Amino acid sequence: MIGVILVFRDISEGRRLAQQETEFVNTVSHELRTPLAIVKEGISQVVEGLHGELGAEPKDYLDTVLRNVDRLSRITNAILDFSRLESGKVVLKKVLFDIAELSNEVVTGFRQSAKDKGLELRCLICGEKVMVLADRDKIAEILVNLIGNALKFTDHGYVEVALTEQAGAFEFTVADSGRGIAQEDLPKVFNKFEQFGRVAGPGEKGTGLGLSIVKGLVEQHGGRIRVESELGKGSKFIFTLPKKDEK
Amino acid sequence: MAKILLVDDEIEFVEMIAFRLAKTGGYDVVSAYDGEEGLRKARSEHPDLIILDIWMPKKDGYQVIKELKGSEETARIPVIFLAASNLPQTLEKVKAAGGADYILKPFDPPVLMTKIKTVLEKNNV
Repeated sequence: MIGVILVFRDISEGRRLAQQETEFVNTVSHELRTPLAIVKEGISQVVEGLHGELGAEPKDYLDTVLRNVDRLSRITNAILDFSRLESGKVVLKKVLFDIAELSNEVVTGFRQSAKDKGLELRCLICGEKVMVLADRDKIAEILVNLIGNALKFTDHGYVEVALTEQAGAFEFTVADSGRGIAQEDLPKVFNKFEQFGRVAGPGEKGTGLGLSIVKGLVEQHGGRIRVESELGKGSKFIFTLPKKDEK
Repeated sequence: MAKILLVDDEIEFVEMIAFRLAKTGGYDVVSAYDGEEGLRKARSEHPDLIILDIWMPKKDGYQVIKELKGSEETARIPVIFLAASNLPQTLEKVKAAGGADYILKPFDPPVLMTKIKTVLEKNNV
């Protein structure tokens, strides 16, 4: 009987801790997002001219502030996503959707950044219809991370998104003609807090969590991810999604 | 002109959003700074739409929508939740509570305006 009581205690303690953790993540999320929302709204109103016309120079400054608020939002999301993945709290909401259409949406969102860097952004799957059963938001997050990284670390040439159908799985490739990764660094690419290809000096450093989150999300879908790369010759990130719902 | 009730305990945020809704959307905006005040104003002001924060003192967003849905006078007023967490549990709770939509802070202003327009149109306002 004592044993039984202890088991109940353990379950109840486990639930209490899980509840406490959820509340903590909610609180941190609230405390980070609320001031960001106020800053973003205030600056947006001034930039939009809702409080009077703004000169070109102050507008440029405030555009920079807005971009950095978005950067803070991305980092906040990455840290919170990571903490949820680490604690196994990411619950996939699988729906049947056209992944080619989603890829097109994500790629379209990066067209301007690619143009600004003089890069060719190719989407080789965007005209087809490929239905998959997966969590649409999480797949978008995977693509945003991989395409964003590819653009960030490519100075000349192209970034290419492609899809091939394999036995039992769809295989996605995000390839680039960028800086590439040294052979000795390849095994560490998906480790948390690892960062490669960073150029010393000013600019966004990132959290080193993006690829770790991507790997976690791919694996939650029952897929696998790998990287092929050579220093100075670009990188290729390949991930699979099973055709059958395995989870 | 559609009337929107904006309920959030962050005073500066409410003032800014109220200004945007009036200036760019032409909406008539009423503000409240906690759940109880939100409920009182929902009953007295008869808004066409309520934008409702979740984490608030006195009564949180879930309690407010429960009371709104429980009263014939306010049951049909659509609610857009302001969420500050994208935990799946939170989003499930928002859906289950009967909100017409939700928006995660911080958001792009056009996204909020589009959601408001869509919900109002769905409700023939």
